[in-house]
Amino acid sequence: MVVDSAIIKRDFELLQHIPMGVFVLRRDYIVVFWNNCMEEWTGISQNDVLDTHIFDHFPHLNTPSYTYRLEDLFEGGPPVVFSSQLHKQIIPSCFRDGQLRIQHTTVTSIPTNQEKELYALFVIEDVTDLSRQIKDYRALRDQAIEEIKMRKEAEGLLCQAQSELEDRVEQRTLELKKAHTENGQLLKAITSILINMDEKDRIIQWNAAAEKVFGISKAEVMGQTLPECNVQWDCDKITEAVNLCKSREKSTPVDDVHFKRPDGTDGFLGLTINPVIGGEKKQLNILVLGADITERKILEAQLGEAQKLEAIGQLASGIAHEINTPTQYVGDNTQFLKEGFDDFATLLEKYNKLLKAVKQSEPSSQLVSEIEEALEAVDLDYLTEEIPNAIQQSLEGVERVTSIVRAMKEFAHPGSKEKTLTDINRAIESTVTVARNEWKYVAEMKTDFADDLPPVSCLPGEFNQVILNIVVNAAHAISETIGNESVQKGVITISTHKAGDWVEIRISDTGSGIPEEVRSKIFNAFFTTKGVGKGSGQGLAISHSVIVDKHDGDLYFETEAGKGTTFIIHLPIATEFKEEQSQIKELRK
Amino acid sequence: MNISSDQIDALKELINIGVGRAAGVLNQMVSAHIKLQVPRVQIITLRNLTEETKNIGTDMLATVQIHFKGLFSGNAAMLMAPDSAAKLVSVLTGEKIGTADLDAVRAGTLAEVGNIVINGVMGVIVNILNQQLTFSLPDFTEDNIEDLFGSKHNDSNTTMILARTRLLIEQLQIKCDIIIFFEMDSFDVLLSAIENIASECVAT
Amino acid sequence: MAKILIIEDSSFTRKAIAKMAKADGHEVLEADEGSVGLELAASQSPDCITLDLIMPGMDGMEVLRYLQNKALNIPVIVLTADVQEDTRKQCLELGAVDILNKPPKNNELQIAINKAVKKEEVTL
Repeated sequence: MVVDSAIIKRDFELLQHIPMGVFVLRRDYIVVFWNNCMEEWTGISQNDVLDTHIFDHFPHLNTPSYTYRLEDLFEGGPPVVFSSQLHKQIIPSCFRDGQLRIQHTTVTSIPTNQEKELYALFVIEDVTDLSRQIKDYRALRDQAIEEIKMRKEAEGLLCQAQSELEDRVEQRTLELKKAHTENGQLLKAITSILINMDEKDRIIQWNAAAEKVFGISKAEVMGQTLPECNVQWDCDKITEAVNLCKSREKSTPVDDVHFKRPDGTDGFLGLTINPVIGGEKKQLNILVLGADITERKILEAQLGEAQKLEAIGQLASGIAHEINTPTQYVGDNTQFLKEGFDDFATLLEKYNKLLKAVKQSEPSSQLVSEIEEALEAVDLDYLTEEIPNAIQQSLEGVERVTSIVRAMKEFAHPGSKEKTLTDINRAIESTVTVARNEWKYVAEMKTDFADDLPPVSCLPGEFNQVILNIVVNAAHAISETIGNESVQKGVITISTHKAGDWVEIRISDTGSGIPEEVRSKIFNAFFTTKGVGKGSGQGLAISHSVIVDKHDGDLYFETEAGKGTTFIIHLPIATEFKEEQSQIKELRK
Repeated sequence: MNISSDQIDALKELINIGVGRAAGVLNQMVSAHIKLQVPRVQIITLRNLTEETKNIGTDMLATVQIHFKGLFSGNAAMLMAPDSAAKLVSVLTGEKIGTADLDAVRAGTLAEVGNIVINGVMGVIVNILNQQLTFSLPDFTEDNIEDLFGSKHNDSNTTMILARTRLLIEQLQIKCDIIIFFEMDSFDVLLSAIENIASECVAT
Repeated sequence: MAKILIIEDSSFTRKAIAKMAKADGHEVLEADEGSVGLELAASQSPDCITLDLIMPGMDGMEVLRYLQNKALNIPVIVLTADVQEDTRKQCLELGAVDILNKPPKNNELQIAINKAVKKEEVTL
């Protein structure tokens, strides 16, 4: 079939100028029209393409996916669309930069002047820009979606982190609660009284032990100061101690705080006031720890009493012996005196008979010889000499017993809680007497007491205890040295003198001295070098405590191996005497 | 206007053949088997159209339609629910199914698919009935079913022949409905054309 | 002269095929449903079956499968609008002797029927 190019040109003239690629194919795929735009796009001129097979130029079109669809069109079927998405390049065409155009193609059928003969009109729209814009838009949108996704992820992570954090916080809170509970339980378990006060002296902790001892619940006292709370105790003493603790910022013990127990009985508290510096502002809280020591004190007193009784018990046999001896010979002497008195009575009777006879001028020579016989029988000279002796001895013996009894009385002075002015010399003397049995077999006792010894304010019972302990130790030390053989006795020397504001007491023995390795231990409680049953080891420890703690004095020793030991006691002179002394000094000036 | 069941039958078969061809092309494009149904042909009024086509699915349908006219006239449309549309585009272009919006480029893809499917059907009709028709360019929209067909006819009592069928790509879970309605005033022409074929068929 | 069973839901097509077969001198049995078709296949011993695929109820594939299972050994010609390649393959797998697309061109169908029948005769 011949293409009437003139007709074609005329018919399609308008299409030359439109800015879209337009070309027309005949049923046999011969190109019958090719517009300017197509020329530009493909670089194929109209002259080159017209009247040729489109497949010669674009062989890829010769596939069923195109031809199949175009078949119907040539039969009068509906228009065919090739979208840019699926058919990017119907007629491949590039921009100047080499990029391919993206095309949207619509193919419609146009009638020809031949009946039933149709041409296919291809209209190609360049949608590169549009596609690119859409692509850009999509990229932006995808980016935005991605960002949202990331945000959501981050949000998710944040939520997760938050929930993890919350979990951790919960866990910590639980741990804290647990610790708190444990703490609380711990505090509860503490049998000591625990009272915690804030920097304003308000009670912030009051443990179970406190509740029990004072019979006052935590709720009643929280927020109050110590004076405000209802505890009946020696508040002044405590307040003083608290202030002292605050100023010194050191633990301050307060012993023997008297209080009234909930049941009305009296009791004693042993407390320690402790400073607690804590918190952000480093405030000073006060922590009061303590215990009801009433029982202990009772025990202590009982122990003291028991000790004393033990000591007395110890000495009892000795004392009994001491008393027994003079009692013995007082008895003996009294017996002797009785016999002597009988003898004298007999004689006197005979002399009375003689007197009577003389008065009645009756013969008396027999009576006289009876008297002479009797005189010889009784040994008058012996009696005259011995009876006064016997009387003297008996008096001495009684005196002896009296002094022992007196010493005992003084020694076993009821344990006074108060210190009293004591004559140290006398106290020592009584103690020595009481203990006589302990030392008289092994040592001689020498005393050297100062005359001007001022009185000392002390607890006499306890002081005597100390002297007793040391003297007994001295006796034991000497007895070890001399062993069982009755070699020469040792010497215990006790001296007292005034040294400035102190009274010094020295007790020396001629024992073998204190060995080096035990010197640091002898004041330790329960330390003893004596065998089982011989000593409890309490003596020196208690003595030390009595002198140092209770009397603000000093107790130490000097010792030399092989030579002996001297215990030295220092006691402060009673203050009033200190003054008096100075007053006297003043007066003397 | 009377239509015999034979004639209905003939039209059914015609549509069947047309759809079969469309399925063949689609099959090649998506490389997945397309399950075909027996087309349904009914005579209905416009008012009933929406009722009849309700089961196609959700409100906003992606549609490609063409109008044909000649000795008989009507509309042919391919309709897809948005998810099927998205999946189909994804399969054809390799683009991931991201957002539900169909932009111009995707619209282009669907337009082409619709074009192929509709052309498959119309091509057969044109061929077998040996009739000349003129066709509009395919029109792609997203619309609900009422708006798709309602505006074209003022008189809701207008009777028409509605043919419909469904293509199912089971493997990809894509559904696509095809609707063709023939305006009644031109139907007798259609019928005689069908008659002609029937006789032609057994002429040998 | 053979017995042809036509299984086809569209009366239009069925009648057209029947006309064609009869024109060739064959006896024709018609079934408008798959299940009816199977019944007739079992009871009437047709020499050949033309089978539509797209039918309501039991579709053509199911009929084919059933016929294969039953081993009735009746040659089946599939006549369908479904032009897909995988459809074709499946039919052959299920034992169809021929697959034709609608509308059959020229004498396609008649030739196919005669061929199928002749084979039968040969084997007999």
